[in-house]
Amino acid sequence: MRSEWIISGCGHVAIFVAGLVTLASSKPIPDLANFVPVSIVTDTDISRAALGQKNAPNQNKANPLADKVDVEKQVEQAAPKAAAKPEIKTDAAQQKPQPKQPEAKPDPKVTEKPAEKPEKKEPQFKPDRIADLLKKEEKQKPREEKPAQQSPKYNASEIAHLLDHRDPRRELASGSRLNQEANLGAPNAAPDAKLSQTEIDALRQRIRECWSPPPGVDHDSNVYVELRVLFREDGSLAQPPVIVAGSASPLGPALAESGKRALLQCQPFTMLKPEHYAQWRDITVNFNPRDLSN
Amino acid sequence: MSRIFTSGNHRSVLTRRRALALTACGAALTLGGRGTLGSVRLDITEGNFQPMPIAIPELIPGSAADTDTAHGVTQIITANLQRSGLFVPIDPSAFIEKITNFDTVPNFNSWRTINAQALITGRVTRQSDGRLKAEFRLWDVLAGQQLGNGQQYLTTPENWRRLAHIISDAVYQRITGDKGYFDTRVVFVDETGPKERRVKRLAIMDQDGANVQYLTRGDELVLTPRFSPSTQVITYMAYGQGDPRVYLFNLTSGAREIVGNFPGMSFAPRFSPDGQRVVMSLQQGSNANIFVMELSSTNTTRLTNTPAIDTSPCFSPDGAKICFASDRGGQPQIYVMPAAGGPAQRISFGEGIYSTPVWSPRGDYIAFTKQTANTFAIGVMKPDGTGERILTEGFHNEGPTFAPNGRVIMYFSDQIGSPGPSLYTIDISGRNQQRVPTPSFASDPAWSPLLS
Repeated sequence: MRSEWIISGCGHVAIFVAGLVTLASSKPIPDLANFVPVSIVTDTDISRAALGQKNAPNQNKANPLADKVDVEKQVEQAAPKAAAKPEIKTDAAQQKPQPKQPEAKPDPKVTEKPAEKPEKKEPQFKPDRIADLLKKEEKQKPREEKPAQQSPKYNASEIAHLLDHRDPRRELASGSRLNQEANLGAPNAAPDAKLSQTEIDALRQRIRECWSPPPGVDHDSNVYVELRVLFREDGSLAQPPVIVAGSASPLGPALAESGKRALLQCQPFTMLKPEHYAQWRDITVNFNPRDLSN
Repeated sequence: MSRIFTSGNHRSVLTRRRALALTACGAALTLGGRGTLGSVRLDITEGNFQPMPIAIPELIPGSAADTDTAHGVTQIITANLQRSGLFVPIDPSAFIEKITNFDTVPNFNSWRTINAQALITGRVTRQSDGRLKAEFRLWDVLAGQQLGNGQQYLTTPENWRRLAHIISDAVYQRITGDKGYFDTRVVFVDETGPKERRVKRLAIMDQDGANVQYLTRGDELVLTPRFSPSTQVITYMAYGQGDPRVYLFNLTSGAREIVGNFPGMSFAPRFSPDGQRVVMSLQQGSNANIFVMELSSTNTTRLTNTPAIDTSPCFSPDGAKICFASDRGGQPQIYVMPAAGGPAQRISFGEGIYSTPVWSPRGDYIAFTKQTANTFAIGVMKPDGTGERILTEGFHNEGPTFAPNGRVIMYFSDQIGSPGPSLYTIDISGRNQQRVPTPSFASDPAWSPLLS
């Protein structure tokens, strides 16, 4: 009986000692500072992101077309114009295939408008004829035929301008500005393809590194300023940050300017992924020195 | 609209952009899903302080005769900003653009290239009436815009250094959000001669060490000069014939007078924030107590009554409280009491001897000298005694005085083996220790309020 106790005791002690030795020599947990932040991406995230990208090309085609309108394409513009409008609807709805449906809708609008407006300006000209012209074009769309059909007094480009009611969407734009218009629908991503926490954290970290707070503020200054930042797709600033809110304080201007400097100096913010552009193109940054160590 | 941005994290669902979009597209727009347009909001609550690179090209002289003055003003602005530790003036040899016209907008790209974040342009002109005019503009190079309005100042030609200090203050205030401290003076005790027969004279100079003037001849020992916060008067202690006494000295007239008529010695005077009263210690037997005297009426009020040495009184900037040093608990420590007297509360509890407490003009700190076994340190603590920090420590450091913006402390320091003390400044952060140039040894500095 006693020997069993002794054996059992020795066994436990051995295990205990072995544990002491092996556990002590095991690898220490690596330094927290060296951790890489990980965000978990699920299947649905990926498929949603892909969903968004499927739609994106349509959008991008539509915008440049709108800009090229100014090049003399004459009456033919009626078609792209009409196509552009409904396109927004379909895109906003996010599911309907875009290009095909719209073409049915425009016809009535297009035929009616020319019927009224040109009448006032050019009495010699019969509005019916424009309607006919337009109908033909929509069925056939051959570009070469149009010049041939024009009568000498028929100023097609002028009518095209009259027809065109898309003024707000027709500013001449280039480069990144083209894409700004796309924000009415989510251009490059499905609405719920989420900006990952990692990206947000990385952006916050970068701005924090870049921000040299004015020495006049400290953690109990009780001031803040909010800057609205519009980004380009490459992560650079589309325009200087704008103050949208802030506390009334003599420290305010210095605080706001230090925030602007941080953002201007450290652009582009390349940690922001283009596929989430719709969500980070417009960010509000609140500079509040409440955690400054002094 | 802006209220929307000020509110909590996800209240910005209806942003300005979305509102516009809805108006433009009408009800047909059926965007759904949270986060599509709800803007991302980031809170940045910490930063990474870096001194600001600033370019200070030569100010433009209004005529050839002003070239030297313009150069001098440029040099002083550069030196002031550099010494503050908050700016790094860029070496002028790196400048790409030469500023030749004060009235045009600089080419920001050429200043961005050399990593300047701010740029000062200016002009110095002698007016037809003989006065000197200095104008300057401060530019944010990254944002490509002017900061604040341009300013111009007029003064007599002899005062040209003050123009430079005033411009430095304006730049400092615009960038840091704090008032500057360059257009100030320092009164101190100038020490000459060998250690056994040291001559101590009261002297005053600009904060950068220029324009030293002596206020006393050196035939008596002077100590602890203090500026009035509101008038051109200083108070100090001097050993004339007999007991040391507290004096007032009028800087404009040069007149001096004894404060009050007390038996025994009076010492450690300091003005109240309104400049109307002087608080000081009066000796009573082997004890000392704190009294306050109304300067206009010479009415004197006793504030403490203890069998201990209460000394170095200093008002809080709002005039409501007084901090002082007392050995009533055994060793000298710092106490705070109401300005009208009453129960005092001990605020310092560390090892060692605390002395010369002085309340920051901002009200946020009390600076002190702390003596331990073999070092003297300058430190700060909050008025409730928390947050004690030692800024500098050494063989002998003593007598802190705050710059008017409460950001910088000047004190005097003796190094081991040094034949005499010198003046130094240090930020309340503990960074940026700098020696202040003086003609000879110097001690007991007191910083003036802003002159302008």
